[in-house]
Amino acid sequence: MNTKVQLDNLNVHFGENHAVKNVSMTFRENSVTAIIGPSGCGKSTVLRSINRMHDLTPDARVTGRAFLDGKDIYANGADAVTIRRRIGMVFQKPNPFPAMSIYDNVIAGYRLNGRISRDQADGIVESSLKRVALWDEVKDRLRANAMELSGGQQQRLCIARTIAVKPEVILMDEPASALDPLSTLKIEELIEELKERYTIIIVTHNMQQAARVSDVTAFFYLGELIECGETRKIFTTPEKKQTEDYITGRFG
Amino acid sequence: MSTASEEKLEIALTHEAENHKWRMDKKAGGDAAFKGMTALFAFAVLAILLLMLVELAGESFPAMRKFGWRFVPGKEWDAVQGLFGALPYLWGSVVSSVLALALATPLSVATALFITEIAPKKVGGLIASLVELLAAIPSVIYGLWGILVMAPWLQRTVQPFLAEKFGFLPFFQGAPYGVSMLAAVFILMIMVVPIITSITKEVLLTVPQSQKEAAVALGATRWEMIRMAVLPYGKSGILGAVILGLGRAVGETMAVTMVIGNTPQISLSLLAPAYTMPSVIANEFAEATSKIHTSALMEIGLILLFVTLAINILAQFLLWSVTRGQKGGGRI
Amino acid sequence: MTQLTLRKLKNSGMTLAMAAATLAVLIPLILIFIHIVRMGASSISLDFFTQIPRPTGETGGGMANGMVGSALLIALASAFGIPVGIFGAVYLAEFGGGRLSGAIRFSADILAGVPSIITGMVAYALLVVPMKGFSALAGACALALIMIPIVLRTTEEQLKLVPTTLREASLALGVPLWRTTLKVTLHSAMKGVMTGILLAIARISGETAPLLFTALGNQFWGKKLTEPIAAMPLQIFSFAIAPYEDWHRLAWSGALVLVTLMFTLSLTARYLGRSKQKN
Repeated sequence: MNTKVQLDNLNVHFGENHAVKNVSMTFRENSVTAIIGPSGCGKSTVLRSINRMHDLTPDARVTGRAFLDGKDIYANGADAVTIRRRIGMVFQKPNPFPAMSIYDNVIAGYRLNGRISRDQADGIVESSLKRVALWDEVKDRLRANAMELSGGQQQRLCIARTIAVKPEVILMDEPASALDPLSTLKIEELIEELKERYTIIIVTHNMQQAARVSDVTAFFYLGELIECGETRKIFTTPEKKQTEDYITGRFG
Repeated sequence: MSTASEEKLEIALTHEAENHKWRMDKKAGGDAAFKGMTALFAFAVLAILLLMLVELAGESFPAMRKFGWRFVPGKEWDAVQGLFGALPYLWGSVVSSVLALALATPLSVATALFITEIAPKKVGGLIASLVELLAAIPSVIYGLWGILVMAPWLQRTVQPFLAEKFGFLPFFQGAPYGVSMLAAVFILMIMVVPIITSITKEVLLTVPQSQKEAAVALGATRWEMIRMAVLPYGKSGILGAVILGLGRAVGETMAVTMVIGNTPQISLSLLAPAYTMPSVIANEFAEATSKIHTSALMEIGLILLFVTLAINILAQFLLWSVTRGQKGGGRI
Repeated sequence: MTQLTLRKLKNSGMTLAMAAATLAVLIPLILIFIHIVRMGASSISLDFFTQIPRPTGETGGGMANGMVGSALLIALASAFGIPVGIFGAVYLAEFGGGRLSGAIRFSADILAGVPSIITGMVAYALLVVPMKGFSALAGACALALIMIPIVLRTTEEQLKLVPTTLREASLALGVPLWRTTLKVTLHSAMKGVMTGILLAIARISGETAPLLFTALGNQFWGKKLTEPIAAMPLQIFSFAIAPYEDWHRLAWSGALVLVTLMFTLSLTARYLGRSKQKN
């Protein structure tokens, strides 16, 4: 399979704090890669480097390279706006726009690129909502405010909003940790379906979740990539002792 | 608090306790008296507000009885003949304030956005401090600058230009006086911008980072993020800030009095002198010739009070939801 | 031009617009300060601080009576306004909590937005009418009425910041509530309260409108509190609107002195506030 995203000697500093140290790894196209590790190990920081979210943080410094389809997204002249179109992100706490309806939320990102016809918009909204299995639940109240939905529904709405702009990669930062078990299950089923079209990278503190949904797992500790490999192998016969200690619950 | 002062306090407290170990039965009486005294002072605030309404209403009664409702649309103001009508002042106040707000609002919101979203933190902080400095300048000093610097400048440059190019419109007709509705609008705009900017800045700071990240993650440019996530979130707070600014503009006295020309007339032209409610009170009250004159001025004061009260209550209501979210319930 | 380029152009354009707006907002500040310093400094002399205004047409003179008058009015107003504000805040912070307290707080906030000229009219009705004349007392009354809501709200906020554990410790040692409040709670909040008071004083030192028909102003030295008295803002006003160049210069100097005073007060207040935070 092709490499969709590749990190090469990625380092992230927040002022004095060296949060991510010399990370190099690849992410296969149309696969699900889980990034696991104890709190503070840098998993979210690595994830956010992939869609250049650290541009928003004044004292963050990212060095090294990150390739999307072979092109370094941190190169001089690389355009963050275009990159974020191609690499979408779903956050830990669902964050739909509270001033917009469900319909407007889904189409919000797509609308950035100019006017589209009503029919076109309707089509995109419907297909996006269907793909996240939310369509049937909201189709009769698309104009209702997005905040009227439950937590799990809001998160699926955010996923619909993300895929409406037709990204190639979807980054998920602990997408189910704020949700109830039933919604969590729905999200996990969704991830399984989404990987057919997208490359998914998911950060999770829930090892069982990682074992369930991912093809590849990467274990991080104190800002360093300790081990990365096929999920089944990581969870049954890890190579590094630290990995084994974490998997078996000896720390974190 | 550092441990050194904590220790000092503990010593002081023990000292106090020793002094009062044997006065416990007096404690209850002392506390009740204390509560009563402080309550009295607290109610003073309510009393002041009530006093305002009562006194103004009472003193305006003679004028109200003489002119009734005709006072409001009345156009004549002649102290000698005993004719009093409030319309020119209502017109002056409304027009100057509304126009000033129309100009000030985009400037203020843009500046607040610049401070919170665009400028680096330190620069933003500096600009915010400078804006606060503007808010602290007394009205009379704005008036001083207005009448000695700005109005003559308007008379020399802006007004002739407007009269020449746009004189076919009723808004720019008449001779350039310098002191005019236009001058009042400008000075009010300058005075009201700091208030709206400060409050809008506070409102914008309450926008959660997660909202902004959601927009950015979809591939929005910074301006698109502001339009999509920041401004809609802060909508009601910004409106509250604007309305608070309106309240200030309506109540502004000295600066306006010094640059508006103090002529009770109703004209569509911005170049013409005008008169506002606070200005006529400021100019005529001390030398009011008759009881009915004073009463009419009191009635104008009453109208002014009601208008500003209504505006401020509306603004407080809009800002209430924003202040509630702040730590310590800080008053804006 | 692609859609993307258009979007980026719009972004740059709006950023520029916001920067321009900020500049436009700051320009009057710079202009006013330059004018005050330039025009004001030229007339500052010993005379300015020691002499009263000369009759119209004559050169020279100063604003000594206005400065003394302002100081007197502020002192009188504070003597009344500060205790009322502080003790009222004590009530709200220590005993308050019901609907009545909410009403009082609401009133204080509303009063802060009432035009100061109306406060002057109230002081007129309260003191000028019964006394049948304008007076320094009436002016001080007007200023005190303006001060009270400000001091009340800022003091209440500071008192609320004092941790409950401090009060409880004192009460547990047997100190009565009233003494706890005065010696412990208020003492602990003192720096913040002082900051609020300084800001309130800075505010009233620039107030003109409420003095127009209470203190009225005076060409000479006021002899009694029951007589009209000069005040700096009033003098700046009358000098500015008069047709004499000389008086204009005095007005600028007065403005310079007034602004310097207010600036100093605000800086002191801020310095106090910051050193409190460090603790």
